[in-house]
Amino acid sequence: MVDDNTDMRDYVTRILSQSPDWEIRTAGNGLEALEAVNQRKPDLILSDVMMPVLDGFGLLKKLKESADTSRIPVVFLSARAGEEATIQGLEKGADDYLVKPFSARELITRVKTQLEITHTRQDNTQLRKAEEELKKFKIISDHAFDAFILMREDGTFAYLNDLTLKRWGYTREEAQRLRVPDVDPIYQEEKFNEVFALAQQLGPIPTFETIHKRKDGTIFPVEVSMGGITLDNKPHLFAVARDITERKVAEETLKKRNELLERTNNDLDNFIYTASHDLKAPISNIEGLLQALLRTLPPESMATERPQRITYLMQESVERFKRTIANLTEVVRLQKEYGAEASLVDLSEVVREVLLDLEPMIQHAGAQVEVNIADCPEIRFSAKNLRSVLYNLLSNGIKYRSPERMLQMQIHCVSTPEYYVLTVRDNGLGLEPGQVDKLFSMFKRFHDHVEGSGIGLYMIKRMVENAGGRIAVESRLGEGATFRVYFRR
Amino acid sequence: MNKLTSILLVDDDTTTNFVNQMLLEDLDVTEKVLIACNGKEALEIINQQCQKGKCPQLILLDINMPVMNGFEFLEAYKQLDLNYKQSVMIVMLTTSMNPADMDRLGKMPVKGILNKPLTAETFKTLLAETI
Repeated sequence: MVDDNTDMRDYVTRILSQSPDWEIRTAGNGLEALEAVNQRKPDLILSDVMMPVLDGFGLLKKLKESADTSRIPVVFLSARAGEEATIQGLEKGADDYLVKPFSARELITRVKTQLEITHTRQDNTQLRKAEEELKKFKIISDHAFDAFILMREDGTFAYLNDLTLKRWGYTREEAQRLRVPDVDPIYQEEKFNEVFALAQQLGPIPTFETIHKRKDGTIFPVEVSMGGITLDNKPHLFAVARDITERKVAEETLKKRNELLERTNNDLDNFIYTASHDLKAPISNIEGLLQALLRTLPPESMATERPQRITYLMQESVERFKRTIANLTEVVRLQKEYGAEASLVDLSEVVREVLLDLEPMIQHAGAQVEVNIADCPEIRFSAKNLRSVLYNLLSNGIKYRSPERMLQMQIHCVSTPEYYVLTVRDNGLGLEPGQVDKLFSMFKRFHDHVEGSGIGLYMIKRMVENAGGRIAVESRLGEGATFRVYFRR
Repeated sequence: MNKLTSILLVDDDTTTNFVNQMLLEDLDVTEKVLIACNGKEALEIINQQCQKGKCPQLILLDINMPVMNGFEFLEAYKQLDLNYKQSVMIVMLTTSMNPADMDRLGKMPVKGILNKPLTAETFKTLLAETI
């Protein structure tokens, strides 16, 4: 209620306060009114025309300028009885006017009428908004990539989107008489009722996989997200069904491949185990027979070089055979020991032990070994395997030293947030670029001037990888090699 | 070192038995080498010999054998009621280093475990340690 006249303000306030639904706020001129409107939008403004600072028309103009306030209905309370003022006010966008003096009844009637018009206008706006929402939903629903299914308690459908009908193979007309049992080949009434009731309590229920049946009787796999909702005060079950035919095919293929791989792996393990076991007996016998033969033959028959050489080579072949079997057995053991017992191992202790074991070799080669592992006090690994890793790397370094220079080896270790990186570096023969990739494969040997089975690096790679780490090598032919072992922290 | 009266070899591999028999004879450590091709034959020989008061002093026993294997033999042997049983020593001679097998042997009346092949050195060590 905007008026510069206090009596008038009080009069109108008194009249309108009789209705308990109405809250009356007052302002002395147009400017004060704008401030009040900005604080909280009123449902209706009653305003005097002639006022100081900002008059009624000025107020109206300001209100119309802002989209936020332009829809607030304004009723002028005019002292100017006469056509011009009336027309002027209405032309400028006032909704109504009252000429002073007016009766209480007249004022109340006009105010009521204005508020009703406003409410009707608001209802229409809401209806239009709802229609827009519905249109949006229809577009989403019509173009959805999954089936939208709304079920009633009796198993009939309250809504099915276009895709649902297309997938199931029914026309919209046929769908009118469709019920859940027609499309769910494993439908059980009891179960449906149970799920329906559960979904009303829980809202969304956990996603599950099932099958749907088309009109032609064929079935296809679906993944269903489902939940209970209330529509028109009645319980409904809303489901989104995703066709997972392709995923199922892919899963099935993967499963089959996995099974095949597992079987092949098992067969291979068993084969190696059986082979190594069954080969042990005959080779032991050959060795024993050879020994017996040597004991049996008269000493003079062995006096010449030829039988000596033959028996020596026989014995050596037997030894090689036995070593190979031992290596195969070791591979199988490692395979079976995936995820071996790891404990915190003192690295310096292991390095000391391995260097002690290798001392004769180191002495013989005249090698220098530099150790700097203070950064890695303890490594989580199988102690036995850690010893194997170090032993293999160091003994390889010694075996494949360069005859042209004194062998220098470094054992370093640094810690990174994820790994302890143990480095074993030598200045030996080194490797050609093409050899590096093949270095860790089974029975790979690049040099034939030294003893070796070609299994050591394969084994330590397996050990390290089984424990979640990795091993890398960097080398240049004629300059040496650097092995880095990454132990997971 | 005194010669043993007899040693019983229990193995289904006749070549192994032949090799070991030759070795033992050449080492001259026993009066007699007895041979059984499986556990059942071994039990029969033990019964026979012990009744005559000539129990084998040492039995070298394989694990994997047809008819009656090493484990079955040991179970049956435990049930035997013989006068001179205490004087019989059983040593396993096998290629199986399967941890499960090793565990099982721990609960058996076995004095030692040898890995095949039997050699002069391992046999001498065995005798020195156990007899």
